Amino acid sequence: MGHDGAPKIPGQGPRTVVWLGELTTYWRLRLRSLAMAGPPLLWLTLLLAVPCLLLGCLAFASRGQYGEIVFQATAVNLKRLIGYTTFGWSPAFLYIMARSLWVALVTTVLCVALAYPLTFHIATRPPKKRVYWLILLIIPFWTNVVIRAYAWLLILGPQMPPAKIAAVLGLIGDGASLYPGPLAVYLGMVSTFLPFMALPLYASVERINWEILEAAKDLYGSRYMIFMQAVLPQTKPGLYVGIIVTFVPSMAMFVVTDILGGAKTMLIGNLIQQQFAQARDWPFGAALSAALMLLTLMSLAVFRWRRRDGNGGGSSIFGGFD
Amino acid sequence: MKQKRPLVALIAVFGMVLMYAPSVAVAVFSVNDAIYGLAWRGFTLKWYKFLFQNEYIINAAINTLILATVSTIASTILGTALAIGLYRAPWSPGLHRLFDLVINLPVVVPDIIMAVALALAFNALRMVCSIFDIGMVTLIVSHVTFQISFVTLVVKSRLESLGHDTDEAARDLYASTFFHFRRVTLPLIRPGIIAGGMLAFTLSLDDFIISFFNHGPESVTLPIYVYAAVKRGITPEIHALSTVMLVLTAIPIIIAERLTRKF
Amino acid sequence: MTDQINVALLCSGISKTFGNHRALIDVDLSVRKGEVLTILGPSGCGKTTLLRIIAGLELADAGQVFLNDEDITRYPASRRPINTVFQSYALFPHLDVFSNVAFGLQAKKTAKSKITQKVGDILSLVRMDGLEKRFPHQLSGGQKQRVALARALVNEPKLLLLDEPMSALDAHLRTKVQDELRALQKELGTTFVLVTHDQNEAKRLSNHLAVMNEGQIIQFGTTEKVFTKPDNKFVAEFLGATNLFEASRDGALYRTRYGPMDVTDKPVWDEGKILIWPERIEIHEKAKTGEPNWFSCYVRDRVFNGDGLDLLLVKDAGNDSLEKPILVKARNSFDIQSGQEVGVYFPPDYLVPLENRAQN
Repeated sequence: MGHDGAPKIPGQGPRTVVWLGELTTYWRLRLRSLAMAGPPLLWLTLLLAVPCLLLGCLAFASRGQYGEIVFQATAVNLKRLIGYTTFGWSPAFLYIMARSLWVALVTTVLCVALAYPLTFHIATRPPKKRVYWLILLIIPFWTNVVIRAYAWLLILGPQMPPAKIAAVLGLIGDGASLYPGPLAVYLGMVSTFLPFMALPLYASVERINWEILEAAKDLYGSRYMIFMQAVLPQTKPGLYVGIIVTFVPSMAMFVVTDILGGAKTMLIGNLIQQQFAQARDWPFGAALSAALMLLTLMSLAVFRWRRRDGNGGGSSIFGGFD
Repeated sequence: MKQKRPLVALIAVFGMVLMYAPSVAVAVFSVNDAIYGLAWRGFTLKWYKFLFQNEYIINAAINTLILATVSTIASTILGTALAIGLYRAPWSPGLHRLFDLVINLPVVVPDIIMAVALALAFNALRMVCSIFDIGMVTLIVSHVTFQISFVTLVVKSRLESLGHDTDEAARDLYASTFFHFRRVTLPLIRPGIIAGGMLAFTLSLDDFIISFFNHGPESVTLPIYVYAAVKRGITPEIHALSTVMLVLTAIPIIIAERLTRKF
Repeated sequence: MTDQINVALLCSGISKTFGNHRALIDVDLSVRKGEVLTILGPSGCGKTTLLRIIAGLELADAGQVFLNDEDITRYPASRRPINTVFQSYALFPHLDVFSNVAFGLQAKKTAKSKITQKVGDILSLVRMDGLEKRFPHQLSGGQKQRVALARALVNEPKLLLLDEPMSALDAHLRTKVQDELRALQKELGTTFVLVTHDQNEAKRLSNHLAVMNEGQIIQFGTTEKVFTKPDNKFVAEFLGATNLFEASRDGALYRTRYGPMDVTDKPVWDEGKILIWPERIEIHEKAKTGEPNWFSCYVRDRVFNGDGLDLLLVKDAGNDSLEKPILVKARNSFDIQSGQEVGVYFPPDYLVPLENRAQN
C-alpha cells in the first residue's frame, strides 16, 4: 500500500464535487439550475424588477402638453413632492403623505387594540369551539376588499340606524350619510385589516404560557403591568408580523379611501391612481410611487430594527404563517 | 386561567361584528325587494335571477375564472421550477441574496406600485410586440408575475424542511438524476406545490388593484365590475353578486378545514 | 503483503480537508471479503468522512479506493456496488416499506417479478414480512433499522457500510440487535464496514478493528489483538482500559508504583506505560509479600455491575488521596467490603506494555 506518491484522483478535473450524493461539477449544477430557474427569474426581472427601476427613472421625466412623457431629466417632480407646484409652495402633497402615515398608524393601533381581546377570547375557548372561531376569522381574510368597502356604504347610508342616530345627535345633517369621511374610512380600514392583524397574533397567543400571566398577576396586579410584562413579550413575534402586514398595505391603500373617502381623506394610493387615470401624468405618478416605496422601506427598516431584540428577523414576512 | 372576562368577550364579539357587518349587510340587501333606497320592502330572490341573466356579469365571472386558472397553472409550474432550481444549487451567498430580493419583491412592494410598474412594462413591451395590448394577456401575465413569488416561497419552505439524507440515500441506491427527481424530490415537495397553487389561485381571485391597472375593456374581472358599479351606481344585482362571491369564498375554506381536521 | 485475491476494499492514501480542518490524513485501509471491520474513534476523528468517501458521497482530495481490485475512486455513488445504512436510516417517508426496499432494484430497472421475489426474501430475513404496507412514520426505531438494512442488502452489494448503526436505538435493544446483525452477516457473507464510537459495539460485531483519531488510523488489526494489546494510551483509554501505570526497567523486572513487576511481553523501552485489563486482575485475601506482581490495596468502592463486582482499589487509604484507583472486575462471589485490605496479583501474561513497537 504505497503512499509515497499516491496519485491525485485521475481523470477528473479539480472542480469535481459530490453534491447531495451526485458526482458532478459546480458548473454543471449551475447550468442545470439556470435551465430550471432561469425562465421564471427572467420573467420576474423583466416584468417586475426592471419596471420598478424604470419607474424610479420615470420620476425624473415630466409630462408633456398632451399627456405624453417628455424624456428629459428634470427635477420638477421632486420639487412637486416637496410641495413646489407652478403656483408656488403648498403643503398639499406633504399633507397627503402625512395623512397616509397617520391613517396607517391609526388603523394599526385600532387593529391591535381589537385583535388582542379577539385572539385572547379565541384562545381561551374550548378546543372544539376554537376551530369555528378560526374559520370565522379566516373567511373575511379572503373576502374581496371592494365588496367589504362598498358594503359600508350600505350600512352608513342616510336611512340606516347609524346615520340616523348621528343626525339626531346633531353630528351630521338631517338625511346625510356617514360617508364620505374619516369615520367611514376608518371603519372600512379596520374591518379590512383586522383579520390580517388577528391571524398572526393568534398564532402567538395560542402558544402563550398562561402560568406566566398568573405569576404576573401575583407580582403586579395592575392590568397594564400584566400586559406589558407577561403578554407583550410572549406575543411579540405574531404582533410584529401582524403590524407589518397591516401598516404597510394601509399606507398604500386605494380602494377603501376611494370608495368611502372623499377629497379630504385622500391617500398616496389615490393620488397615484389619479396620475395614471385622469391626470395622465405618468412621471409624477412614478415619483409618487417612489416616495411611497421609500416610506415602505423605511417602515420595514424600523420594524426590522425593533424586532431584532426579539428574535432574529426572518426574511419572509410569512414566517411561520403559511 | 379560563376566567370569563366579559369585557374581553365583548370586544372580541365587537371585532367580529366589525369584520362581518359588511358581508351581512350585503347579503341582507341582496334579498331586499327594493331598487333604490335602503328601506326593507320584502324578501325576494329576483336579484339573483337577474344576476344570472346579466351578460356582463357572466362574462366577468368567466374572465375571472379563466384568469385564475391559467395564471395559477403557469405560476405554479414556474414558481416550482424557480424554487427547485435556485435552492438546490451552489450559488454564492451574495447571489442568493440577490435572487431572494427579486423573488421577495411582490411580497414587499405595495400592490399599487406593482400594478403601476406592470402597466409601465406592458407599455414598453407593446412597442415590441402587439400581444401586449391591454387585454386578457396582460391580465394573465400580471397575475403570474406576482403569483410566482408566492409559489416559490411556499415550495422553498417545503424544500428546506427536507433533509439531504434522502437524496444521498437515493444516490447510494443507484438512482440517476432523473429517477431521483421523479421518485424522491417531486413527491416530497408535492404538498408544497399544492399549497402554493392554492395560494396563487386565491390571490388571483381576490386581486383588484393589479387587475384594475392592467385590464382592457373586454377583460373585466368580477372585482373590477363591482368597483365600476359602485362608481356608476349600485344596483341590487351587485349585492346579489357580492353575496355569491362571499359564499363561494367561504366554501373552500370550510372544506379545507374539514379535510385538514381528518389528519 | 495481504492476500490480494481476498481483499474486498482497499483504501490508499486517502486525504480530505474541509476548509481549515484536515479530516483525513493519508489513510490506508484494507478489508477482506466476508469480514466485518469496525472503524472506531471519537467524534470528529474522520471515520464518518472516510465512510462517505468509500460510499461515494464525498470526494477525497487525494488517494484511491479499490473495490475487488477495481479503481472506483472516480465512480459516482450511484455506480458503486456499495450500499449504506445511514445513521438516521434515511428512509423515504413518502414510500411504504416495500417501495423503500425495492427502490434500488427499481433504479436499476430490475424486472417486477424479480423485485417482488427479492424484496419478499430480504424482508423475511430481517423479520419484517407482513409489514410491507407500513410507512416509516408508523415504524419503531428497531423496525426502521431493519428496513434500512433490507433496503441496502436486497441489492446484494459487494460491501455494506453502516454509520453508527446502534446510536438511534434504545440501550436495552442494542445487544440483541448487535447479535442479530452478526448472525445476518454470517448468513449472507457480505463484507461489512461499520463506523462507531462505542467500543462495546466494536467488540461484539467485528473481527477487525481500526482505531482512528484526528484523521489518522492509530491502530489496525484483529479485534482481539487490538483489545488485548492496545498500541498506545489513546487506544487503550478509548477502549475502556483505565488501569494504566508508569513502569521503568530495573534489571529483569519493572519498577512501578505498585511494586516490582514481571512482564511476559517484554517492552522494547526502558520507561513507559503498562496496561492491565480490569477482568485480568486477581484479588486474593492477602498479598504474597516480597513476590513481584503482588501488592496490597484498599477497596475504596465496590459496585455491583450485574455480572459481578466492580472494585476500585487504592494503595493509599487516605480520604483526600488523589490517586487514580485501579478498576477490577471481580467475578468471584467474594465477600469484599469497602475499606477492606486485599491482596492484588497482576499476572505477568496480562500486563500489556504500550507503544511496544520499534520506532520506524
